[in-house]
Amino acid sequence: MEVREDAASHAAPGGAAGGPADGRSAPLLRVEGLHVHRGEAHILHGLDFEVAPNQVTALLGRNGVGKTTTLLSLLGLLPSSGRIEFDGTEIGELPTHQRVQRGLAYVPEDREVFTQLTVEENLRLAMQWPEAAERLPTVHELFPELEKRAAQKAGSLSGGQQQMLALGRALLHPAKLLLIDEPTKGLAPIIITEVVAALSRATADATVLLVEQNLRVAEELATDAVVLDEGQVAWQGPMDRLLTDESLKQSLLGVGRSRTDDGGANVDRDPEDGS
Amino acid sequence: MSLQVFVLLSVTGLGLAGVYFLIASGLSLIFGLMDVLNLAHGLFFTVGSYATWWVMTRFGFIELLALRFAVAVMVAGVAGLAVGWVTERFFVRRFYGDHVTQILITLGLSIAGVALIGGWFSYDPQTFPLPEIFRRVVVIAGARIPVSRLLILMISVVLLVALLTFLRRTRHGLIIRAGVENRSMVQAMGIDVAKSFTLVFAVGGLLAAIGGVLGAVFFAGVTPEFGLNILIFAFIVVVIGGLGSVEGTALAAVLVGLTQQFVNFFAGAGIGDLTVVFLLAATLLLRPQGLLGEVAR
Repeated sequence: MEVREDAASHAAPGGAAGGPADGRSAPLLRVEGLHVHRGEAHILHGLDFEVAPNQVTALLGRNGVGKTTTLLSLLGLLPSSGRIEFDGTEIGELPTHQRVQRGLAYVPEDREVFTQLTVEENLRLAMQWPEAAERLPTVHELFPELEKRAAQKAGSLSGGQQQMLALGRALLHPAKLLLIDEPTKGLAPIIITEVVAALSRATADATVLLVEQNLRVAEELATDAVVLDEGQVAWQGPMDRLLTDESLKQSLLGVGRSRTDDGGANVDRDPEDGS
Repeated sequence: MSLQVFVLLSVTGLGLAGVYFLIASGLSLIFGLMDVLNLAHGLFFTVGSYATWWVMTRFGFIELLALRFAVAVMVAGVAGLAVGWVTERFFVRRFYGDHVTQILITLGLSIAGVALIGGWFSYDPQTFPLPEIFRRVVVIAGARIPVSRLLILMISVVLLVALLTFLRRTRHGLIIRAGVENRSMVQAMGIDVAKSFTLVFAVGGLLAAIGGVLGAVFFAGVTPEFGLNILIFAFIVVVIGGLGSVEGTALAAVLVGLTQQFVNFFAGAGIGDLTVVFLLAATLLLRPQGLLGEVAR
């Protein structure tokens, strides 16, 4: 597949216009030739993309193109081949916990809070970083429900509250790069607004790689976009360029055919796929 | 059924439940956290029981039997801890995720352990002197209850509380509880969960070995196959209780211990063991995740 991109601001990793020479900071994350197999299926076919520091980069694409797989392989939760350079160091051979200790933080697609632990215990588990104690008041300020429900088992929280807990847990980590997978998935529109507002505040100065099906949310949070199609990078560039080009949006994301309840356009879903 | 018989069977059943709980709790945590079916867990139990027999028969220089028994408990605990640590560190660690190899290796260790202990000491049942207090009886509601049964019950409850306190009040315990539920997410939080694997094996070894001490007192002797025989019931307790749930294991141990005692008494020896197998089948049919277990992710 041919990779299209906005040459004015981005270039493929290793390309002549990539890196600091194009006026942007050196990328915090550089992925080259990332391949992932799950059983017999070849999910990622040599991904190349970069994440610039202090930017929110949206990882977009139809369902089943490999967005979640990309995040899992960056974390080492799925075996992969290729090069993953994070903060100037190759991390592709490191076990998951060491990648996280080097500055990755993860908010999974299905929240994956520890349902048998209380809210306070879920947060306490993440209090292993020296900076976590300083960050806890900010997390409580962002998500007051977490303080009110500290003694409640996480499994008894609503979907929105679990999402807040998953985000709060990740925000205790003084991470260099937040990997956030579909933070609004399955949430009621009113909760989406609350979560997006909190995310917007929490990620103001952070570097984020965000997987999001709801284009309106991605638009609100992200400055850059990487679009996947059939396990490859189909396009990368500034978010506003993608959003203003209707033909690009239609061809890459298939938007316009469905609308969410809150009016946010959803990236077209392929019923045969599953991430 | 007279009140005396009811009380006697209840206390005996609860004592047996204590022995089951101590071997099953480690087994449950090991499986819950690491997905390892540790068939060598019976060996930890046997090591504990033989450590007791060895100290009680060879440490004659400690004349006070109660003190000698206290030393035996400590020696058994340390031996169980060490055997658990060695099993994880040198045999199981390199085969995480490879279930067939794990089963073969732990089964091999279990069989080799029986042969080693039998060859070294003897395959015949061995008995040992007990402290005088163990041989006393107390009368409760007209039933003459051996003090040893009450002590077994008491020690089991103390260890249950200690284990729950460790799991609920310490950071290691928190990591183990989280890891039992979702190991990948614990790793994705930057925690080296593999460090907890060795700890859980060692703690499991310690508990099983203390179970071996109490089992030796309960059954008034030891044999090399002791742990192997009781492991079957421990597995039943683990499945009924729910994998990875300490509270579920305790509840299931009580259920199995009492069922065995009451049914064996009223329906005939051996029928109780069969009933326990039916309990297992009913659990698998009606509530496959066990009494207090969670549906696996």
